[in-house]
Amino acid sequence: APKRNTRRAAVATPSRGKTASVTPSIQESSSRSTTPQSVDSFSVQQMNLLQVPRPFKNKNYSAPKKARSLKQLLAQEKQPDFDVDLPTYQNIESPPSIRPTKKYCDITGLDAKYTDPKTGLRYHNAEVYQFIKGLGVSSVQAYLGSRNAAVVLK
Amino acid sequence: MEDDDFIEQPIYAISEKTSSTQYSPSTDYRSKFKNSSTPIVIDNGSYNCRAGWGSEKSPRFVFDNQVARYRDRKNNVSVVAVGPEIYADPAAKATARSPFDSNVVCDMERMEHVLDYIFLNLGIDTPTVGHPILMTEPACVPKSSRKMMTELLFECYSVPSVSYGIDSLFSFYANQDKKNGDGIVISAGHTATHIIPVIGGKGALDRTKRLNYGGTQASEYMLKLMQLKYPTFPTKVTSAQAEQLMHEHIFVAEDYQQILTDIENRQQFQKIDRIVQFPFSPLVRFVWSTTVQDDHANNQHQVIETKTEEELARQAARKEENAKRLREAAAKSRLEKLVQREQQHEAFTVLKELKGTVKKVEWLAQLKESGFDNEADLDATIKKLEEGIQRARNKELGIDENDDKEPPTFPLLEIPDDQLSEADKKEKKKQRLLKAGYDARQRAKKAKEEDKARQAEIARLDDERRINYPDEWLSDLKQKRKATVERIKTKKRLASELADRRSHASQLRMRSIASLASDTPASKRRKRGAEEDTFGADDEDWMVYREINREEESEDEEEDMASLNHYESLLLQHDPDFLPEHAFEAEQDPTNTLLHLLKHGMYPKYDAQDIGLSHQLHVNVERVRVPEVLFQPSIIGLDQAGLVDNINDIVRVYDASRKQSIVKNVFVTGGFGLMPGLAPRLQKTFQENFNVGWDIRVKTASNPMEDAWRGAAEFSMNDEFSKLSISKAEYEEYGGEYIKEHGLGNVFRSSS
Repeated sequence: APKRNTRRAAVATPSRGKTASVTPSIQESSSRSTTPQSVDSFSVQQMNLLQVPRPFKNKNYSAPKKARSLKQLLAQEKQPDFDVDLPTYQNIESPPSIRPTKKYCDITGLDAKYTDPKTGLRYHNAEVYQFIKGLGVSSVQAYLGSRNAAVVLK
Repeated sequence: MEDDDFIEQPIYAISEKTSSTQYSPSTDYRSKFKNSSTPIVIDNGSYNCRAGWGSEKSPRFVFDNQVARYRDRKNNVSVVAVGPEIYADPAAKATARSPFDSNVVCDMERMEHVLDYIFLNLGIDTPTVGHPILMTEPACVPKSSRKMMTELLFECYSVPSVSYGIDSLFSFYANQDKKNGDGIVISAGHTATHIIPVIGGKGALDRTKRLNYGGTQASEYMLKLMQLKYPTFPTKVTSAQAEQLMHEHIFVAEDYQQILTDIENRQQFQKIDRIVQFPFSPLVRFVWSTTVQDDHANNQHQVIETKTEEELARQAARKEENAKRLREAAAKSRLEKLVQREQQHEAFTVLKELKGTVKKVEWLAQLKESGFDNEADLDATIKKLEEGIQRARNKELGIDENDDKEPPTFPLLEIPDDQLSEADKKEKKKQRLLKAGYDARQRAKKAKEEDKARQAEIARLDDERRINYPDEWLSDLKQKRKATVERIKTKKRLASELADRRSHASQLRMRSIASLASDTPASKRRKRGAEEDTFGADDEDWMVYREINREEESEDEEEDMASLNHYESLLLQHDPDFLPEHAFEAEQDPTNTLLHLLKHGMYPKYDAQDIGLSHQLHVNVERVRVPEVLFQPSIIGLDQAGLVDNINDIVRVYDASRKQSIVKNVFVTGGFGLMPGLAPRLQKTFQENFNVGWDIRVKTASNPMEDAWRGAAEFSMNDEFSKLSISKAEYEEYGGEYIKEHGLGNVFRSSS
């Protein structure tokens, strides 16, 4: 049985500069020498990446600290010069459907043949309607929010 | 209707992921890979990251693509934890973030940590990473994201070459024998679902479509549905648990409308409904005999109190004792009172007898001393005491005293007035009053008895009628019951209408109040010149106050309910078609409603007090609803066309022969595509949308989560791979956005 890799050596050397002294002295096993061990929160040795030597990195380079959001990245994309056929991140997004939507009950999820004029909720039968009548405003907004139909006041 | 068959429903546990396989640096780098140009293949997904050597069959590392950066207070160090290391520390779990925003890498610092983790675990110990890199990127990735990634790889790790591809196309590549066939790839991923047609083995990116619904959105929706369904759920359902629910319990309905109809059918419902039990701890009381059970499956300690038999017996005995003590105390006080009364009685009787022996004045004085005004007072008190004593004695002995009460006599009434003295006349008046009262009581009794007799007579006639004309009687009874039900419902409706201020009933009420309160009521009789207000002369006028009164009239209601119950009991007895569930009560019963069925299932009968039951939730409609959003995104208000509409739209432009070869090779990949029922549903939908007789085959990847990596590894070991990657020199010349198209990746147009 292959012996478990211990991590003592890895944790003991905090400095980054050293090279090649990381190898623990255990025999190499065939192909998969990483022996994964299952972890549970009681007994674990966490590998802190900052404390492990990473010789393969260029010390002079640091990744841009400010993480940009997708919206910002997309704003940066320049479009106009390209031909219209070129697929971009934005134009491969699926367009709205042309079919009429099938309506489902906001409370039960079953077919909804009726809509409550007061709240705009769709419901399946009279029993669900009685339930809707007794809902408070926040619940109504929550149900509408589940299909993105809530009134949002900004 | 037959009884519903009880299908034993299994109860599913909910468990959150608390650990993941940890990796440690490989030791075979030196012997196997150093100084070789074996490519490193990284399938960089928004859910998992898979990495390994291109020459191998499986990725060496599969881990959650999350990075946590925080400061460990205990040891006072900054910590960076990647992937499985996050589960070691709750602080790590809290700060864990993905380098992705939707399906695009935006946070390059976290990406750097992920790459560090990969290269570290590969065992690389050279000053640079001297191996070609093949990475996956999303379809039509924004240029700046790729630029940053290429920059990171070249500048930070000084790799010799970089190449990119689309993960779903790699997965397709891995699953094909013929590498240059046609097909259509449906990649149901974590943050989005892509549909990419493949022509001649190359992805047609210009006809690609993306649906913004994937695993993440599905688990968010599941969470929302559960929160709406169980607003008073005792514990908070976390997003990780919702993800668990989504992974384990959803399936794609082959016919969505049919499944929805099935759910309303109580028999079918039990097959679809699933019970999920959330961990809970029963009420703990400090009892001597407690057993602590360590439930490893739930990873929680459950303290269960074992109320033994003796416990219960002891409690019962204690209760008995208390009751007995109370009873004894009551008896004692009664006895004391009795004794007291008797003593008083004796004393007063003595006093009375004194009358004969002592002089009148003295005796009166004594009376006054004792607190009596005159002899009559004393007599009355003595009589009362006697009665009290008699009653107490009777109670002890259990004699019913009403039996031996004689009708009271009124002797004075027969003697005419002029023969009586003043005092006697007063007496006579008193007696007259008493007699009137007595007579009235007798009359009331008689009336009651007559009433009873009449009722008995009616019941007997009714019974006769039932026996002689059963059908008519039955229909009559049903009519009566219906009328009562109508009356009850109308009353309820009126009550609810009056509660709403804007209803017609409410406005009428207001009008009548206003007219009653005003000084100049709009009277109909003004024409006749009647000026007086004759309100109140007629008894019916006072009924208007009844109408105004909004409060419930409980007596009428009770009457109605009583008669309804009477009718229903008769119907139950004599009508074979009338079953208990048709009774008015049963229909009103909340446990019979659809909402209750969906929320609490059928068995076991829901009891709000049971802690275990209150921590259970039922997934039924949600099981099919969550995946159905892929086909009908309007369910969550997503303004996009569904999967099938998109496929139709994509395939529309190709000619018939091309279309046929495409539909022969429909390929489903991606983690979200693991949900059961997707392939059969797609098969059915395709058959509906394309010509009869076309050969339609829907195939799921053999390993939807790892095949992308495998395809990429296979691709990386191709001879032409080196020609398709970007070398460092090319990067420096053309910039970070430059890639070479190879059919399994994105297209490139240079920006001038």
